[in-house]
Amino acid sequence: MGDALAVGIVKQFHRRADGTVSTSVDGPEAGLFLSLVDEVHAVLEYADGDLRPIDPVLDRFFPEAYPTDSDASAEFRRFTTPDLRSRKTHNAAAIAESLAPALTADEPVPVILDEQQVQAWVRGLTDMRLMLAARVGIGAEPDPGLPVDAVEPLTEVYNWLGWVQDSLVRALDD
Amino acid sequence: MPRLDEAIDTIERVSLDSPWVTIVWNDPVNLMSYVAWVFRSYFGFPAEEAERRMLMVHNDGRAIVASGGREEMERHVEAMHDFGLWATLSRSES
Repeated sequence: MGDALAVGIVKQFHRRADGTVSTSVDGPEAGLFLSLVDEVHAVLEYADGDLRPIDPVLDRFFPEAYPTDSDASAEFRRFTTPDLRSRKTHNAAAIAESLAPALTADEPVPVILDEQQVQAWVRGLTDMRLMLAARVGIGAEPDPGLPVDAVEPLTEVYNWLGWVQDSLVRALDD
Repeated sequence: MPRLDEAIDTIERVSLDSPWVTIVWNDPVNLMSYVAWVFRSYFGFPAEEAERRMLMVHNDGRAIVASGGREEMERHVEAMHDFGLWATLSRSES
């Protein structure tokens, strides 16, 4: 499994007394999240339950359910992809929505997540990490379409997202 | 010797009863803390059990997280894919 390496700004989530979870986000961070949301949405545009995914990210978003039965896997994908796709689209959009106030802020602004938003965030952060991992080749070869000088910055973003997610999951345990 | 229709009946019953399993596989992306949290929050495992199965995934490459009927296992696999975990289902070998 992956490691949550602390790279860049340390983001911390806290459980509040009313059960919501809070953090603070500044404009550039919100902008980074939004570009990742756009990227996830762009990938999902090409998800089609009838087709074996051609993008390695889609392969990871909608894995084979039956490892030794490609027909059953295709059938499973046909039935589950439309719903999974719309949930993944919604999760990414929910992250963008909760960050809208931070986007234009000069200073970090508080972002408070209710239970539903938390559920969208943990899944949405996972999808962003799966996408970046497939692009930069975590545990595999890099995407051949990716420029060489993009690997390092994207890997940093990937590691940073790991830290963000780890902090969020730990806050859920409080 | 059983009649053919009885034999078919038996085969169908066996295949219906024969349990399926949901397997979660190790991947280099998902965090240990996240996988344990998914096992607790979705399957309702107590913290220790969730930790034990997460470590099985991490150390052995995979862990069985549920067993039962095929449709139920398909629902679990879909839920795992929703969480971004790499999950499959197959017939129980036991």
